[in-house]
Amino acid sequence: MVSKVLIANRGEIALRVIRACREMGIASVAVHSTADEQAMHVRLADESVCLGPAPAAKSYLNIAAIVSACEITGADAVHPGYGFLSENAKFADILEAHGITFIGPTADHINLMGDKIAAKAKAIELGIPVVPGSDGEVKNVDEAMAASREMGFPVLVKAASGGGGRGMKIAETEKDLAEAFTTARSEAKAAFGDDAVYIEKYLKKPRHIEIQVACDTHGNAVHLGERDCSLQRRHQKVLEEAPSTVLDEKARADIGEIVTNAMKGMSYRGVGTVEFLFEDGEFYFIEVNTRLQVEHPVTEAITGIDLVREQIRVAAGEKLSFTQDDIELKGHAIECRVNAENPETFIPSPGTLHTYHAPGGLGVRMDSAVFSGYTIPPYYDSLIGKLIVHADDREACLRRLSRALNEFAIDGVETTLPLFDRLLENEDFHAADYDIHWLENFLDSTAPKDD
Amino acid sequence: MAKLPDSKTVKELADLLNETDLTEIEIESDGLRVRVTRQGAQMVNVSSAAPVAAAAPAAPAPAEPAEPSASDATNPNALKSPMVGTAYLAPEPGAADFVTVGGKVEKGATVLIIEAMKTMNPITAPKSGTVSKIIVTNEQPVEFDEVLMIIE
Repeated sequence: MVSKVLIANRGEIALRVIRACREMGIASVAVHSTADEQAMHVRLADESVCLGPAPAAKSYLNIAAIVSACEITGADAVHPGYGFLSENAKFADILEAHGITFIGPTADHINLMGDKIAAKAKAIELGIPVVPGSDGEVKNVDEAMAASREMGFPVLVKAASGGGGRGMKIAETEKDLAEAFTTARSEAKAAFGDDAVYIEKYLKKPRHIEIQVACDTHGNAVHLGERDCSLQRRHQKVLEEAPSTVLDEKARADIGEIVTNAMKGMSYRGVGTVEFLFEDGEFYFIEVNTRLQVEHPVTEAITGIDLVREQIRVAAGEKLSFTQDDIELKGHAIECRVNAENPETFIPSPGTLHTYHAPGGLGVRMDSAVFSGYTIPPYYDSLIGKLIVHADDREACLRRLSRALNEFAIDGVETTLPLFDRLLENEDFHAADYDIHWLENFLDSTAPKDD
Repeated sequence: MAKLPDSKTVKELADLLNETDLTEIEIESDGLRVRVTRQGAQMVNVSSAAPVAAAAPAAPAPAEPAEPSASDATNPNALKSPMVGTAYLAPEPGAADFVTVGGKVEKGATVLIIEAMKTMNPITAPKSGTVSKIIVTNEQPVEFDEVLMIIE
């Protein structure tokens, strides 16, 4: 039973969950640090609890304080949002031990998918196509060399405890392998506390295409189509689209079936995203994200499904409110992540929003927790909000995006809005002719030259 | 008189337990033994190593809780909650409150307990003085930085 949800997060995603709760008649509890006392998620929730001082470790990552906050408010469920504790199996375990429902998958599945070597092995077992790679961990340079020669260079040395684009080193040829291997290991040890690495073939110009799935505890698993998230800078997604222009109905149905069968085979619970690299018509598994993703709104736009609502329903033991046959992809949607950063250097720009006026109108959604006069604190991420536009087809969507960007008024901090204007003027972007390296190449080639 | 371990020590032990793979930590000093054990939820056991007669505290009528005022939060003498939990003004149900309005306290003396996840955390006076205002009520849920009392 889910009657009061504590949202263990902040900013736009906390607001997103509060909105779903309110529409479902479920009470909401916001938690916050002292730096977020005036935040919108705190104001709009039914109750709030201050967890600790500004640093995330003492507040949003403070498991003890969050569990105490559940106790004193009587919350019977926790939604972890994305980031923070959303993929922390220990947190999920502790909540379950206290009889509090964790709105997400089981701790076991979080653990499984958090270990990238184990996740890949599981993917192979479940029939998901994977990137050719080493058979699990490579323990020394000799093993690394043998595996690399077999799959062919260039290769990527990846940290087992990495993920999200972190902990990867390229070796273009045999000569580069020893150094890539040893650096990857020592960096992995420093960043994740685990130096286990594995090797994968490095794909030259792949796209990043991910499949959204939703599963309940009654054996149902449904996929909601794909998102194309190829436009990334330093492995951070900048703009996402749904559907992808490179998949036709058959390709979508085929990969969708493979993924739903796999999730069913695992008895996965809740929403999840299976991420792939896609090149020359082939899918290659990267990882599974066992949580709601930042870019979920583009899927909501083209399917009409409220993903947070489904998460809460599934956590309460209910069936998914739709079957695979009910899912129809309509139109095209694009999301722009608007960050408080310089649009060319990407240096964070926290500060006070003297002016903030978001665009509106048909097919325009702004998911944000900021407001005019709000001060963006320097302690957390720089996301101001997500601008999502939806239209009948991609052409109309691009025109709508241009129209929306034109209405957007922000003053007080630097933002990445100008970058999206530049993308709209670019021929490759217009044709959706890009891959995961495209954006960085674009930024490098159009960077202002030093005089 | 038996002294409760101060909340900082207990919290440090609990944090240490969380960060390591230890199941139990026990320390003893000044005739006082503290054991922190991992059992799903952490339990803090406090016992006196030597039997001690507890002095009967003076028992005036329990103070009425004071209305919190806006100036309390900025009062330099405000004792603010270091954690999220439930506040208890007495060591156990039925016992006299730790402190009363007008009563004097020594630095380091326990003035209330905050319970979180079944562990009792003693909250101590940061300096010696007189309790001029008690804002928190018994069994009241408290959040981080909430003003508990004023000690001048």
